[in-house]
Amino acid sequence: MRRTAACTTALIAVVAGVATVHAEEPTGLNVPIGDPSRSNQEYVWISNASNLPLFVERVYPGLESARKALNVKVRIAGPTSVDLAAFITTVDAECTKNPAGVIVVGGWDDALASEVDKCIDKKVPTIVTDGDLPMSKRLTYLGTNWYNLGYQHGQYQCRYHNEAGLKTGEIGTISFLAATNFIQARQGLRDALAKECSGIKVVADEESGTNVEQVAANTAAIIQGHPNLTGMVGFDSEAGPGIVRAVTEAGKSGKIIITSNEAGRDFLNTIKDGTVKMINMEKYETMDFFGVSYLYTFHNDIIRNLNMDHWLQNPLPAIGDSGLIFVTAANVDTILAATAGAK
Amino acid sequence: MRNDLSPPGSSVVSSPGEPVEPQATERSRGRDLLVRIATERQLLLIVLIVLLVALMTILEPATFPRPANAAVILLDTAQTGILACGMMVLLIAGMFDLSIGGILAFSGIMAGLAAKNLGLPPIAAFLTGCGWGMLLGVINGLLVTKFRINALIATLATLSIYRGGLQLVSGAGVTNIGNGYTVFGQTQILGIYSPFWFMAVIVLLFAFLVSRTRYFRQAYYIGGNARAAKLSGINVDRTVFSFFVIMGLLSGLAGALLASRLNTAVVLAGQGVELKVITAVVLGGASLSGGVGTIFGAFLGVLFMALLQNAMIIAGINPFWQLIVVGIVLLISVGLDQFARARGKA
Repeated sequence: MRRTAACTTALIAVVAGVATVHAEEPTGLNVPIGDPSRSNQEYVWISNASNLPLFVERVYPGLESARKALNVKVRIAGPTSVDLAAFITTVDAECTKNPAGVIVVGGWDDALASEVDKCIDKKVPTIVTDGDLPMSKRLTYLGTNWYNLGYQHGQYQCRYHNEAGLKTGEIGTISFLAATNFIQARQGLRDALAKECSGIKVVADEESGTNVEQVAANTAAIIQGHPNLTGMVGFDSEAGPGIVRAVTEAGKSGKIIITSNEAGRDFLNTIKDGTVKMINMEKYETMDFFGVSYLYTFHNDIIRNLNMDHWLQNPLPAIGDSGLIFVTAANVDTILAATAGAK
Repeated sequence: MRNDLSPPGSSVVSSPGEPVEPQATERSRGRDLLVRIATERQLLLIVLIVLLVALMTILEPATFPRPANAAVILLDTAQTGILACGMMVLLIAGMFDLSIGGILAFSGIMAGLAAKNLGLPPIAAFLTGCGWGMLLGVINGLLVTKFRINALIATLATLSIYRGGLQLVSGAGVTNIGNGYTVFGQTQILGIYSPFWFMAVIVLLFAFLVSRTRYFRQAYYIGGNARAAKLSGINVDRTVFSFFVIMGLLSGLAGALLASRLNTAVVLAGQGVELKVITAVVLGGASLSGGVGTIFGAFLGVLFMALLQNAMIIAGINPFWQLIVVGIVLLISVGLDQFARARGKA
């Protein structure tokens, strides 16, 4: 009887001990953010086409800001071309090195989900930016709401068609056809058109392939195949310049309503010359600065929910919409002036 | 007896002295024509192009058979056509170059930097791009002929090096080049933009060089049997080296031209172009083992690919099917040739 009581007491003590461990305060609060003791922590950003002009101009500065603000190391990795196999290999290799955190630019392919899962299984804090991988174990998606992006393009197309006195119209799109984020964007576009200007339809969806020449050739063929084409929407960063080139070469500049994703600061000048009506800019600096910050927060155990271990109860937001900037004739001068010399 | 058992359409063998039936002769002629079309790649491509144009004219009469669409197709052949000339010469000599996409992008960047950052006149900037391409071609040539590195490995490695190098030099590329540089790529002549005319001149020039000049015809001997070519007095290394330099020059030209057309030198320019060019050139009659091919065939291959792509988009074919169709067409074109040759031998 005495032995049973002793065992029970011991068991309670063990359980209480475990509970105490789980109920500890976040351990990372003891060290101030940016402390030199964490300066060896390395955070890795990985993407396909990792040197895409847009990434160089917008993502790299966001990462650099995070590096400075948090006093850690931030590294860029991934193939410079669109090469899924190389991308997957890079994610694998980087997570094997056990860095403090990894940002995977999702949206290129759903196959990346299993790579993200592998990283999480290795206890490497991993988040996804730019295009979500909702079926993965990623800690957070931080980036653009692509359905909303497409919906906004639809609304702008409706508005500009209406201003041009067009009740009916035909629109072509250029994007990565198989990528989830672009599928969502195209659906958003269609839903907005159906709701707000049902006489305007999408008549062609063609591939971008991160290749301006291919975009130009495909757009030229869309224009020839649809003589009544009234609008073009480019969803990825290489689409806009290719669409503009093809529309200009077809002598339809200003006649076909173009709305596009951003393609660098100089591309904004196409709004000034009237070729493009609206360019959306994703908030890359925001998503990547906060991406590193989220990982830093997680890795250093700075915040907990219910005082539970951060690997048991993920304290990060599940999804963060980094928002969009819409550039039109109304604000292009302001944005160009504000970004002058930003390169 | 065998004749009696032959299925309809099969060849009929007449005995000596036996009068040949006119129908049998016609059937035999028809069969010969089909075999000839199947075995002569250029003829096959011409037939396929005519059939595709005819089919699209019937299916899409309002959109496909228009001068504006013809101009779009011809413009689409420009870049691949320029590169195909150099690649065909290399393939005839039993070589190939996988770094052309990297050379193209790097040359465009150098031309853009020369025009925008150095303020060079357009022609000087354009020549800078071409010259840079030639220089990179020299490196490829040296690696293959002096260091004896397999062309596949050497140019695969330089593709990576050139792509990395151009990013180090330019970062995000050169946008809004300006300074009058667009004259090479944005000038319209007879309703078609200038890149097409560059390509037309280069195709004609190379068609002449490869078919009429002794120097370029050496490629056939080298590709057919490099050892025999060497024994017969051909300086194989020097000739192959010069072909790599020419390929570099043409890639540089294509890159400088693309930068002019877009008014932007794009770091990702020419992605995957090497496979596109090799596909078109093989479709046009080249063999990966060397010794065969013509520039006209290469041009037909490029034209057919551009036509097919344009036709599929106009016909509204799902882009995923487009890829499958391109693959099937390549297999059928090359496979038909092999099949007909095998039947001919039998």
